[in-house]
Amino acid sequence: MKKFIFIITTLAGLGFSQLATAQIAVVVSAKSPATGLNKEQTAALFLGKSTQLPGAGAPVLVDQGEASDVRKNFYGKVADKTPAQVKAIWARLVFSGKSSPPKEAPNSAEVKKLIAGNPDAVGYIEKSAVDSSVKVLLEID
Amino acid sequence: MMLVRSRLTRSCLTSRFTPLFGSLLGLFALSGFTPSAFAQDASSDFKVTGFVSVVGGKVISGDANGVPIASEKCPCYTADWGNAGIYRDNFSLKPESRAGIQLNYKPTADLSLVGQVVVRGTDSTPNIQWAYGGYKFNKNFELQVGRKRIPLYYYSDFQDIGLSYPWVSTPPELYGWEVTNYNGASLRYNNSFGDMNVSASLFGGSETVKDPLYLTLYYPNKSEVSWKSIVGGDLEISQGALTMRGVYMTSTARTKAPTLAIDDTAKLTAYGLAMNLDLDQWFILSEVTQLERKFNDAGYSYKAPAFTFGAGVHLGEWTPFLNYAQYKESSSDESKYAPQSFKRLSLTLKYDIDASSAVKAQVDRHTDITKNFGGNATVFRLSYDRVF
Repeated sequence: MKKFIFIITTLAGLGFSQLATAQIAVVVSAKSPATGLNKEQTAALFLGKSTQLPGAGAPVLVDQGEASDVRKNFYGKVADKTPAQVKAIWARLVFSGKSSPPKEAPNSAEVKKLIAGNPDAVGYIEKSAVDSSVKVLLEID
Repeated sequence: MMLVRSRLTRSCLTSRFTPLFGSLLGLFALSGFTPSAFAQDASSDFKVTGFVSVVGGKVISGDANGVPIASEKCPCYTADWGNAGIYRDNFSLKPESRAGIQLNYKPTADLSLVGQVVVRGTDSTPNIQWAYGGYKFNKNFELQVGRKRIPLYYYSDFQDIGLSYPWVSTPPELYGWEVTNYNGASLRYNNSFGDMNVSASLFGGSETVKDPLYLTLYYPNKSEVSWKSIVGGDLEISQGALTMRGVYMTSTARTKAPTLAIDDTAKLTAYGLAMNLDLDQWFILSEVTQLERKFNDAGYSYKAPAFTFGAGVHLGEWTPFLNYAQYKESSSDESKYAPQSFKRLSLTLKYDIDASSAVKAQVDRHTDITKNFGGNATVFRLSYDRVF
């Protein structure tokens, strides 16, 4: 039994590491007027430096769950920052009243649901989860 | 950093340090039981966030014959001037430990109400740091009215949030005046131009503090400090790895201590420039400031330029950070005001436990250049910082 659990967890681990290298797409609602973002603009938005989504208005940011690999990868690839570094940056903004932290959704499906219902929302999901309800602003390998 | 002439006596300080560690521990416990309220729930427009910093330390070596601070003999080190946080040669959690709760309410997309209450090891009463309402006119402009921190320097607004910086505490050479908050209004502007992000604000108001802890560093008598006609502005520009911020502020600062026959008014002018560089692994934090007080009635003035410069490197969860800071006063008339000067070298090692908490260890080598406030000291500190 122990061996079985070991194999399962190892496989799960492999699954996650595969997920870890999965491509990520930065997305908005298909109805959003925004047309595209570069890596720097995406980093500026999600690190609270910028409060404007180019081509649209003030965005509503949507993060994935704190422990999720998608989130860890997203910030690692876009801003070269660990979750702790990102939190430190947001703590400055939140506790000085300059900004509210991103909303949080547990997974790509929930992020999509939020985005579909809010044309100002910007989030990131696994590229494989992209469908016609969302518009891709940036693909991250 | 004395506010008034050096004729002040330093008599015995009656102990006013009866910290409400119960409240602090209560908040600390709460932080443990509140799973990541920091992250905004997708639907809620009311949210509670908070922070805790438990900081302990002691002076490990220093001048036993340094000039006493707060009427107690040294070796000692003033880590937090604004809250009279002083380390001595016995280990203490009092000088810098603190906890705060923040309430945010967003009744509409354009309207926000923010309140923040903080308790400290040095102050038994919970203090309101923030209490204001904000209104967004459009995507670029927001008006905030109420009680806020004075954004005098880069870290002023989030000086209490230990998790947000690489030191155990912000450099006291800069971050340490008798007034930290104001009641008034500010207008903030945000915009982005390509990859360049701009944020600017104008602020104005006033503040009166009864028996400020700051003044207990010098004397225990009843006192009152008021900063009237606070008017200032700041401009922050960030592009890629570089962030720059400039600030300018003026005020009329009055210090009254009737039992010592002190009633001095100074025209206060402060400005500062911060420059931070955030490369992939390496980062640099620097800030240059000057504060000047002109005591026109008393016929003297002093300038207090200060700077801090530090560099660190992110190595996974570990962040070592080396910093040098200096504070150097000059007086127009040394018979009326004896200047103070300090310099300090520090080495900090930060370890991120998880995204929301970190521990730090720091050694400071502090030099009392003018030998008139505390003397030299080497200080060791440990901290646990958390946001929730």
